[in-house]
Formats: sequence, C-alpha cells, structure tokens
Amino acid sequence: MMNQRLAWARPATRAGLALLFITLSTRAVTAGQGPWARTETREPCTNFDTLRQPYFGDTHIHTAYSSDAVFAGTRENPRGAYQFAQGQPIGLPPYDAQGMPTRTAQLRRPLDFTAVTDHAEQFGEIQICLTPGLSGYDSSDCVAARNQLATPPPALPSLLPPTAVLNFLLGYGALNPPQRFSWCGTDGENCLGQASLVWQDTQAAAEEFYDRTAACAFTTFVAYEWSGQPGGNNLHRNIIFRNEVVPALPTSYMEQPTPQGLWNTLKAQCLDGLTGCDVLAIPHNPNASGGLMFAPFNADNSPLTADDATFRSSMEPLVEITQHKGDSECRPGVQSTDEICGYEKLNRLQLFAPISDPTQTFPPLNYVRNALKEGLNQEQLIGVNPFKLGFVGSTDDHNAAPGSTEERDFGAYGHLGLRDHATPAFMVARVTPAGIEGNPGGLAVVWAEENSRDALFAAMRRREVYATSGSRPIVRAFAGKPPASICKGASFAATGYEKGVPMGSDIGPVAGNGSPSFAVLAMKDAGTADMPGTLLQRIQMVKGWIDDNGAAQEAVFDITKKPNNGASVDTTTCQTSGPGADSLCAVWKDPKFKASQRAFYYARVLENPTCRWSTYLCNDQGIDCSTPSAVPAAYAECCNTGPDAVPKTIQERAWTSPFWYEPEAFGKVTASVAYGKQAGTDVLNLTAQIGAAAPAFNPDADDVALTVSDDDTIYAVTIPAGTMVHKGGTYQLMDKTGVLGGLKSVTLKVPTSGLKQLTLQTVPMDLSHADRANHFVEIDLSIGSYHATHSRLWVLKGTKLQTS
Amino acid sequence: MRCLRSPLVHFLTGGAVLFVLVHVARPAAVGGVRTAPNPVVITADDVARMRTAYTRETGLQPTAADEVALIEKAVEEELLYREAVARGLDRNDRSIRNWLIEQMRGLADDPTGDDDALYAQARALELDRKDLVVRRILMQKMRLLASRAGEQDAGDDELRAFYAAHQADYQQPERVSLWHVFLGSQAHGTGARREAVQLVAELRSRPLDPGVAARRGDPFPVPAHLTSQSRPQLEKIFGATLADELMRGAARAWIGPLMSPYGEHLVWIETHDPGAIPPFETVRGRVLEAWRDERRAQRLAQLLRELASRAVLRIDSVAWRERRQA
Repeated sequence: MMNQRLAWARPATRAGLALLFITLSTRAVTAGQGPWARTETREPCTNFDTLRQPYFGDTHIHTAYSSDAVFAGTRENPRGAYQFAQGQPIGLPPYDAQGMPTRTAQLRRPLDFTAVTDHAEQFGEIQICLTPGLSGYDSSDCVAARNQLATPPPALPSLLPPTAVLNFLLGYGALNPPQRFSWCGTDGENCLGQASLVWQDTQAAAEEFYDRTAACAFTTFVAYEWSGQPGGNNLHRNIIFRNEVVPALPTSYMEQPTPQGLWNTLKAQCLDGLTGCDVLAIPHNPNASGGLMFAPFNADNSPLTADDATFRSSMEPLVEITQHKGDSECRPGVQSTDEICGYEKLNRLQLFAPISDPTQTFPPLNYVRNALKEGLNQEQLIGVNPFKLGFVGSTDDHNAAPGSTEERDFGAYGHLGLRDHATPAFMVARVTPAGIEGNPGGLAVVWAEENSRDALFAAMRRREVYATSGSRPIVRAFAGKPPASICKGASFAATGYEKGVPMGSDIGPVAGNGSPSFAVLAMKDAGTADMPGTLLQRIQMVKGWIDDNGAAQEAVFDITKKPNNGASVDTTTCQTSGPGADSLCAVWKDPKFKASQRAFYYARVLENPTCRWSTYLCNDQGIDCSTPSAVPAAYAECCNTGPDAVPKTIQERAWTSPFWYEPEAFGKVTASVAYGKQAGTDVLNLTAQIGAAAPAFNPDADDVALTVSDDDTIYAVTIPAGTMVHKGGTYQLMDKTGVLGGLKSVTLKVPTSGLKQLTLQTVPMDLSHADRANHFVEIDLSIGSYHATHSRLWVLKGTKLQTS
Repeated sequence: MRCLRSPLVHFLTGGAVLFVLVHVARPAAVGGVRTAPNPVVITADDVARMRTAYTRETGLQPTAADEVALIEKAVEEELLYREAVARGLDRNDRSIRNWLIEQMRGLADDPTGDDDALYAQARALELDRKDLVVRRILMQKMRLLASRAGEQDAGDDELRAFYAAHQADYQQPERVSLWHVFLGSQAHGTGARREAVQLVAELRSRPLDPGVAARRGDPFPVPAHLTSQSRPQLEKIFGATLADELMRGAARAWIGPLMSPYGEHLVWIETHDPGAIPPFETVRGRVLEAWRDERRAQRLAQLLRELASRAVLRIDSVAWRERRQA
C-alpha cells in the first residue's frame, strides 16, 4: 500500500533509496499481517513469519468446572490448566487433610496454546452442589454427589463409575428432550445463574493467561464443550471462540439437543448477533457415536441439502481425530484393509458400553476416513461437501493437565483423576472410559504467522493444521506444482506456498489431466535432553476418491524409500533398535489419478515402533509374564496375549489435514499486478484455467464476479448478466475506457469439453491495496452457483507482484 | 457549682466511671458480657478420629507432620466457626435455617410442624452448635467474608507499584534473530559434519550475504531466516542443546557446525534482544488479578493470626507438643 516517491532522485541515489525503501516496506508489511482480519486489540507479535511457524496445543481439556472432573477428584480450575500448559507443576488427587495434593504432574515441554473446554451442561449444577448456602445445595442429588465425593476410592476398580456418578452426569441425556434437575428452578434459572458465574470466570481465566504482549508466548481461547449424548451415542463438540467477544451463556445440550440447533444458535448469538464474535466447533470421538457423528442427514432425518452442507462445513472445519478415548482415523475391516489403522482402537460401541469386543460390528461412519469418503459422495450428490474435515489431536484430559501426552509419563497419572489412577492397578484395569483401553491422547499443531488468537483461529478455519498421536514431529505438506527439487533446496515453505497450497486446502486440475504433485517434509520429534525423539519410519499418502461408478474407494501409498525398515522395540526393556530417519522429504504424484474423479489426500507420518504406555507401567511394576503365577490378578492385562489384548507396542504418528482435489476448481493460474510509475496506473493481468468438470457457464443469464484480495480487497468487479458478448463457445468484453470496474478486456472460453479459461486485463488503475511484498493473494470467482478460490504466495519481482 | 461537691453526685459520677471502665473500655465478648475465652479443646479421641479419616481418604498412614497439619486445620476451622457465630453470621442464613428445620422435623417426628416453631425448637436445643453441616456453612462464609470484605479494586498507582515489585514475573524472554544453513543427516549421512566444517570455513573466508549462503542448505520446515525467536521457540524447532548455544552465540559471525537432532547447522546470528518489561497497560488485567489474589490471601491470613493470638488451645497430641517446642 505504499506510494512511490522516487521520480525526482538521481539514478544512483534512486537505486540506493529503492533498496532501502523495499527493505523498509517489506519489514513494515511482515511486521504483522496475514490473510485474515485482526479482531482484537493487542500488541503486535515480535515474532511474525509470513511463511508460518508450527504451534503446539491442546483444544480439549477439563478442569473442576466440569462435573465429571469433580467426581474424578480434580480441584484445579482453568487457571491451573493454563499454568500447567506453560510448564508449571500441577497437583493431582487424592488431596490430603490439609487440602494438599499427594501427586503432581508437569510437562516436559510447554504448549503454545490451550483451549479449556469444560462441559457446559452442568456448569451451574456442580457449583450449587459444592457451595453451601445456594438453593439446591441441600437437594438429595447434591447430598448424594457430596457423599460420593467423600467416599474413598475402592481398592479395585469397577467396570463402570458408581451409580450415583452416572446418574448425576448422564441422567440428563437419558431424557428426551434433556432436562435439568428440579432444584434448578423454573426454566433452570438457579442453575443458569450459577452457570453464568462459571462462564464469566472461564473468560476471566482465559484473559488472565492470554499473552497480549509482544512476546506472544502463550495463547488461550474461551471455549467449552457441548456434550450431546442422545441414547448414549457420543456427539460431543468443543466450541472454540475466536476472541473475548462471546455470548452471555454457553449453549449446552440442555438448550439445544441437536447439532443443527447448536450451530443455529451459535450463528444467531455469535456470528450474526454479536459484533466481533466468531466461533467454530470441533467434533470428537466419532468412534463412539454409533455412526451418527458424520451421518449424511439432519437430526430430524431429513437428507442434507446444499445449504445444510455449506453451513455444517463452515461451522465444523476440523475433527479431533485422536484423543484419550481412542483413535478415530480408520479401522481395519471397516471399509478398509489398512492394518496400520489398528492403532488405539476403542472396542466399545459406546463410551459406557459394558462390552469391549474388537470383533463387534462397528458403523463405518464412526471413522473419519470413511466420513471423508462420504463427504466426497455428498459433494457428488448435492454439490457441496459437508465433511471437509481438517485434523487436530487433543487429550480430553480431566486433570486440568493439557498436553500430557508422553507415553513414558502416562502411567503415573492418567487422564481421569482418581478413576484412572487411585493406584497403578486402576490404570491397567478394564474399566470404561479409562483404564488400559485409554491412551495419552494427541496434540493439535497449527501453522500460523504468529502465536495470537486471530492467527491461530484463522489457521484452524483454513485447516492448515495437523494432528499428532502425542509426540511432536514437525510436518509440512503442499499440493499443486511443487517441483521435485523442493526436497533438495533450502526454501521448502516458500516454494510450497508459491507453487501450491498448504495442507487443508483445495486443489484443482493444475496439471491438466495429470496428477498434482504432493510435497511432504517431516522432521522427527526433537525430543528433550533426557528423552530423545523417535526416528521416523515412513511417510504415506492416504487417498480416498469416488470412482466412475460412484463408489467410494481408498488406497494407501508409501511415498518414502524403505518404508518397511525392520525397526523394532524390545518390550521388556523398551529399547528401540533399527534404522530410521531424522527427517524425511518426498514429492509424489498419484499413479491412479483421473482428472474427472474428486478425491482427498492426506499424509500420514509414522515413527519407528516404541513401547505403549501400558508396557512401561507393567515393566515399572516388575511384572514378569514368564512366571504367570507370580503376576498379581490386578495386573493380568500386562500378560494378556488374547485377541482382545491391547498392543504392547505402538507407532506414534502424525496426520496432515487433507487436500481436496476438485475437478471443477481452478487449474493453472497466472496473474500479476504491475505497479505503474505513477499512482493509479497499476494493471492487473490474469489467466486462469478452470476444470473441465465445472458447469457450463452462462454469462448471459448469470453475473460474473471476480475478487482479488489479500488482507483487504485489491480488485473487485461484477459483470452483470448479459453484458458479455456471446460468440460460439466464447464470451467477451472489450472496453478501452474501462468503465466497468476498470476492465479493459475479459474473455471466458467455455468449450463443450476440456478446460475452460478466463483471461482478464484491467486499464491502468489504482491497485495500491496490493502490498508490495511477498504475501498471500486470493482470487475468488463466482458465476451463478459456481464458486472457486485460488490462493498462493505472490512474489514481488521488481515492479511486479505475481504468481510463481 | 455547689452541686458538684455533693456526695451524691460524686457517688453517681464515680459509679458511672466505673461502669464505663468495666463494660465499655475493656474489650468485651459476645453480648457485652465479659468472659474468659473458651479454650479450643482437641482430645486424644479427636486426634484418633482425624487420623482414621485421613487414612480412609488417602490410604496413607499420617506421619507426625501430617498429624500436626490435621490438628492445625481443625483449630483453624474451630476459630473460624466461633468467629462466624460471634459475628452473628448464623442469624438469617436461609440454608442453615432450612437445614435445622429439616433436622428438627426428623427429631421431633413432626412432619407437618410450623417452620418457625421448629426452627425455634432447634435453636433452643442448640442443634446448630453441634451440626457439621452448619459448621461448614459458617466456616465458608467466614473465609469469604474475611478475604473479600471491604474489597476495592486498586487504582492505577497502586497497581503500578505492585507491578514494579513483581516485574520478574512479567519479564519478556530474551530473543535472537538468525540465519541458518542446514545440512541434514538424511541427505549427507555420516559426511554431514565434515561437509559442514568445510562449508563454514568457506563462509568465513569470503564475505557472503547470509541470505545467499542459506540457500545452500537442505529442506527445513521453517525458513532459513528466523526473527525474534525466544528460547522455547528455538527449542521446539532445534532441540534444547542447540537452542542453548544459539542464545549464547556471538552475533555477526558464522558459528558452527552446531548439531541438532536433524543434522548440522551453520548459524549467522543477526541480533540478540534482551528481554524487555512490557508496558503496564498491556498486562494490567493480569496484574489486577494477581493483586486481588494476594490481598485476599493476606486478609484471610491476618484474621487467622488475630484469632490464633486470642485463642487458648488445649491439644492432647504428642506430635503437636513436640512440634511446638521445636
């Protein structure tokens, strides 16, 4: 947005000044703006990078504001959780007579961001039961709850939590519609009054620990969990607000018992109804949803319309693909033969189901890979993909201990307070939803310019995020036209953004009928001094597509050399052995690519095998399976080798958000803004291919709208229907005066088959909104119901800002 | 004037003075009747009960220190309870009232009795003095009252002073901006170090723009030019050992080869920025919360000290006596 002021200077001085000027202007721009809006007041971050940096976080955490965490013995509120996330120790139950914790936990490495997501449904109820003097404190439900809290944990765990706990926590879900306790008052006013105080304190805690200084050391989000549990099927979502502007009360399952109701209320109360408010929802544990989480119909069983799908996709751009209660990527035998999917599988149909049996029949849509395939199917049917899901991992820890994902440490404290770890024997018991079937959960990694709410939230919206199973490998991926040499040079990110799009994006037929290129770079977990990271084994690309018969297919490709490297781990010592990689880089094209078939692709990075947390625990307890008679009954699972046994070893992994190949999207695009010598004499040139699968455009009857933007609008024009001259398969507008939006010429070729093409040039005009630095520029095209977007890093070369 | 010399006047005045001295000037207990403070008594049976409850809750045997802590907690609770009663916090408390009515209803086996009558009966029987629930309610109220009574938000001046006294808590981290050239173990295998040594010698021998030099490296997930990175950020990317060396490294010279988990790095440090103290306005929210927390804890501690100083304790516990003597 700078004006040039050099016309008067002598050449040498001009060159020197130009160099200084460009340096200054570059710094001024990179000092702080990405392709997203700033919605809050804060100091600009000292550390800002247009090419983005990885930030590690946890978006699913419970503290003593969640009723189930209270029953688990947790006493820390969100402040304790944020302190823990930043690296400070936290106390864990049991608490002694003085109120001091008898155990502590601490992260080996801090997190960059955290969202505390307590269950909104009983915010008020649990406070009332714990606060003498409040109306309802003396109710039988509260008395029973307090009696339960005062009861010492049993020596041996029982399969399910005690009846009193289940009644308190789940009673509301058994009724349809859900209902609060009678002592909550008319319309729940007592409980909602208390809930309001809890919600305010949630916000206060988030504000207290959000670093608004230039250090940008830690980011919090105001958040909560909507805990929908119809008929025992898990439909829970974490609701993450972009900034401090939030509704007065969180919408819980009590207020809105369907996801559609939830989204509508969030839209009314936040997106539309509150200036500056923005929100997204992250579903989790589809593996316990009875196939309902990603069912392709509304809660009232009506089929999805295009509007439904658009709305859903905008409210829920991500899924928590792995966490304490299992990994939901895929399941061997459930529309997949991928054995690597046999990782941390929940073998119960519901979270509190008494039967854990891996041979049961599991609904296909319990698994994200199948949901992604269904999304492609819906796109084929109704024109919009409702299940365009980026991936994050999180813990769902109920100890107010975010990011506690180390396998080595998990046996010491678990995730569910006293339910998980009254003793180590509890940890390896068959209880639900805790015990040996649980795992430490995963992490969410966000590629963002800086560690601030706007930057991280924008990255989540555009799905430039990836999930890990708990370790911290650094993974980057691009799709489009990155050359093979990208894995030989030092500018992986810059080349990736110039030649393609990052993970979570859409890609069109950029190589005509040939496959786009996919470039993936993975660095192993850097580890700590006392715990080095595990070597990487391989990178895979997982593809799902709709074939010519309309059936969903999937395939997994190993894209790095020697994927079966024979690496192993000794389960008695947990010593790893075998070759592996400190880092892996691969460029890959799809050998089965067909330009007409829509598809998704995501990268899965595998570490070498390591011990599962339960193996560490069994070894620490000195369990020797060679003398079965010496193994205490409580630790029988340590020596279980039956078909229902949990594995002794795991391969930690990372999953990038998918790329979606859309046959009707933009193909190759070449564009530039040429800055004129004087202000207001800039020219935009654009040539864009559009996929053959795009509908037959009809500018006679439809407006043609084009926008070019970065953090603000660079150029926008709408050509009214009927303006362009129609000749055969071509539409054209030529006007040297540029009276229509500065357009000098625009041509739209719409052949009956093959790629379509749009060419456009403006008269000299003011395009100074295009910042004179390398940065992201987005092109948006709408013709009737057709809409396509192209986003790349444009590069400043001399007086021209252009695509690479 | 003459009336002042009247013996009756002297008598009455003297009596009035005595009355004032006895009843007003001396600190009086509840109801204006002066009594010696009741001792807080914890018998050996009480101690045994506390120990058993502790074991039941935690599964551990209490040590001597634990026993002292249990007793201290019991004493503190008793003092808070007594203070709550002295201040009349039990009057007009709806929760306590309802609770006592229910207790009395059960005791008198009188399901339809009048609420007021039952409440009066309960008080007459001093049910509130012995009831655990009532005690807990009153202790809680007393704690809240002590920590929050008269609470006012601090003005800017006070907060700035607090901030000045606690600056270490808010100090920004030290930062470094650098260029790095990466020779990865994957691409160079065992020769990575040798090639790195060669390269750094070459870079030192002829001046080369760090940006140009960095292009010679292997792919790395973040760019070759990193600005204003704090130590935790560097540790995240490069591991702890290399992060330490970068924080210490000399600026404007090629350093290395330095080893990370991924291979060898040659580093050109542009600048070291010492950590700054952020301006007060940007952390005002955090400072206010911290100030409030400190004040509340201080007020509560103050009250407990006052109560403890006036209290007479009779504790039947060996551990307690030994600890007190120590």
